Amino acid sequence: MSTIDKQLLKKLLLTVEKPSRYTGGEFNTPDVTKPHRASFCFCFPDIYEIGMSNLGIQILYDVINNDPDFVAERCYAPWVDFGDKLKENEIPLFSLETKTPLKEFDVVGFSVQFELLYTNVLYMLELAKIPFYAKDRDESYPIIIAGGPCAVNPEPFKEFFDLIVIGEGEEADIAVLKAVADGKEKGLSKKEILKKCMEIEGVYVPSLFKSGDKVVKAVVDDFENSPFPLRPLVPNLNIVHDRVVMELYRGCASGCRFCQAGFYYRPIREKSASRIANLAKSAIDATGYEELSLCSLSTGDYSYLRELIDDLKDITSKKHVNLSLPSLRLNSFDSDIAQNSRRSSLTFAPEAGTQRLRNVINKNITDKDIDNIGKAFDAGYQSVKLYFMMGLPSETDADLDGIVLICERLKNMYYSVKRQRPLTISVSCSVFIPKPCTPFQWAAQISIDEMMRKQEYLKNKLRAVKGVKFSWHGAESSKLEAALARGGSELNEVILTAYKSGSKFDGWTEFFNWENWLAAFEKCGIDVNDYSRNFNLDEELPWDFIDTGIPKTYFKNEYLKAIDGLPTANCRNGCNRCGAAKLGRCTIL
Amino acid sequence: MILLKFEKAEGFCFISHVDTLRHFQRIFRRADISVEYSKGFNPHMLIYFSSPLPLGLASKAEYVCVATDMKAEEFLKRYNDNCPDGLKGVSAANVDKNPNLQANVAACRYIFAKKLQKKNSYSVTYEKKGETVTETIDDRIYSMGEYDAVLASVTLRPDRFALSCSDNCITEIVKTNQYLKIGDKLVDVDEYYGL
Ligand code: SF4
Repeated sequence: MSTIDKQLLKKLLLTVEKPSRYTGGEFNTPDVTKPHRASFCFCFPDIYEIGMSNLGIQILYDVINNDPDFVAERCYAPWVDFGDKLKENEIPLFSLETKTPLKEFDVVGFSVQFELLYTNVLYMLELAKIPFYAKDRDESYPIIIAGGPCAVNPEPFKEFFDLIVIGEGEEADIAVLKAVADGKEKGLSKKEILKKCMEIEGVYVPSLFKSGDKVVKAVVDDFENSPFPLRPLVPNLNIVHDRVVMELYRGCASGCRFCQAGFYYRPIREKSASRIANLAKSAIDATGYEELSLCSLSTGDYSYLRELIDDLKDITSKKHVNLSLPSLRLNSFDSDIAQNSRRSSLTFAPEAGTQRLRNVINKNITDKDIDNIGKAFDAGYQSVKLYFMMGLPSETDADLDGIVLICERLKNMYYSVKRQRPLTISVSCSVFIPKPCTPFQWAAQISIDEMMRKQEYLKNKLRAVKGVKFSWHGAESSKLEAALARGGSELNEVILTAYKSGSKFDGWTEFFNWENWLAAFEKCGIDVNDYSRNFNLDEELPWDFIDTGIPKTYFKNEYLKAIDGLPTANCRNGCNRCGAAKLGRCTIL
Repeated sequence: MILLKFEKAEGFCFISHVDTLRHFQRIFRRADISVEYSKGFNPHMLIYFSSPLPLGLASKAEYVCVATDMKAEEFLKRYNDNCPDGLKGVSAANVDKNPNLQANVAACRYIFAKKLQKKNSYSVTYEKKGETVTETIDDRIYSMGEYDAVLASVTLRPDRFALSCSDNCITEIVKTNQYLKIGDKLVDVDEYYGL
């Protein structure tokens, strides 16, 4: 394997922002030079600080490196300054650990977490001097694969990949590496290897796929005993989630109708409190982190939360480790749990301003639950962050007024007792984006004009409530996200066109260029607004060939219930028969 | 208290001082080395570094003084078992009080990858508050050979010196020693503290 000229690299690093993004050598880096049958390079199409914070990658990196037969390295998207330097100096994009060009790995795997990262995949391929389209890559190139939440609808980017892992990667990635290693040793062609890979659960090979076939999502069977890094990497610079992160469970029992992760990661599988505590202890010991956070889709719903917090108290107090609990659900909020978390600000996501709309989206939070925040005020909190969505199906201005009412109600509660400091409320609003594998996959997204109008409306109303800060999320980028989420294979060309005319880092407001995207859509003869329409309940959807365990009929029924304003109970009250259990048992039952 | 001598090598020369500090806090936590904290509203670990390196400069002789009552030998072993490769510990000694190396180090020795040119006088040019400044630096050069030089600490950056008589860039320079001024003699920190 060839590596990069180290002296030249050092000189280039002197000229870029945060050079330690590119140096590697993190504490706990495994031995990636051991003899191996096949090599893998994880590519994360966003910067180091974000990629290093991704728990999924950490788990998979650990799984592969723990296998005696395989090694895995990492590569994060270089920030534009370094990307330009690499191009100027004709240095191919390389791995962090051994500075090996991506082209020389057996498998290069992209983690696609977010639709607005699609152009960055192309950015990294180009920097690595790898042709964009799978069909243009001969035997000399690695097998390029993708995985991550966006694989729920891989059609918009499938032409860039040889293989896409749908669902959870822990077992599928290893199986793919085995097939690649076997193939390499037997001298099989790429096509023959890919054919073998098609037998692996969760593997989709776009070039060999026959219409009418199904791909069943990969699911980790025994989540309790599934691998988790005991020695997580310690980053070289401050990253977004610079702490030990523990995954409590996968899937979600709430069934919020807009939430893709909540359905996609079903069946619901919980880890036991004692196992999590043990894992947390070893991760804290091995990293020296000063903070521990519990992460799951709705952490407060975890069956053994109290037990776990008790177990962790011991560890965290001995080692002076802060325990932080992100975004608790309002109705599972409990003041003494809040007290164990030394955060200064509380985060809640009611998502909608009125009970009516919360029933529509199935966010099972009542006004009474919101009153629960009062307990947190009494526990000493004086700052609340509230998350809402705008443009939800059936939303009217009365629902936006409801957001204002919630703020007023919180204020009244806070000031009903004499307090030393003023209350600050920050309201953050995103735009509803219909996503595949949710009951709202058919729903319309409001127009950009309507987004702007609603934003103005709410901003003006909230201005009247003192102490409330209002922030909100881009309209145009939400429009694009909806298109990339619900589109089909026709979008491959659009994405490439947009990239070639300069789009990258689309998730970064300073880089997002709507005009450029509009031009790309137009050039390909596609109307971007076509993806925001109400999809017909009977039309064929690009992701229909994927079996997530939950059949279309279930989503349809949920959608119809939404229209009637009927909620569906949390699975913890009894199975709703979504179907996911056919891929593995829901352990909460 | 412990005085630790460590290296900042390989990619770690690109890690800023703030991030280096964070690394040290985590190394001590991993190593179970209990370090005293400051009193007050925002307690922080009591650790004192020699002068921070400019970004890109590697060093074989960095120092940090740590408020702990552990024995030096035990400390060094635990430290090395828990540090990233780029921050290896070289030696450690017990000291009575913080030697305040940041203020007391007078000069440092550097080695250069490319040959230094002999001149009658050396001057550096750099930007300061938007203006170009040129200064003679002869009084800040203690000694120099073909590939090494002892330069005043803090007041003369080795990369600027290097530009005055070679085309070494900062990544081609390595700091090798730090000196205290005792009387009119330079004494190596290692020698003075028995490291
Ligand atoms: S199978 Fe039942 S319990 Fe499991 S996620 Fe589906 S509805 Fe909920």
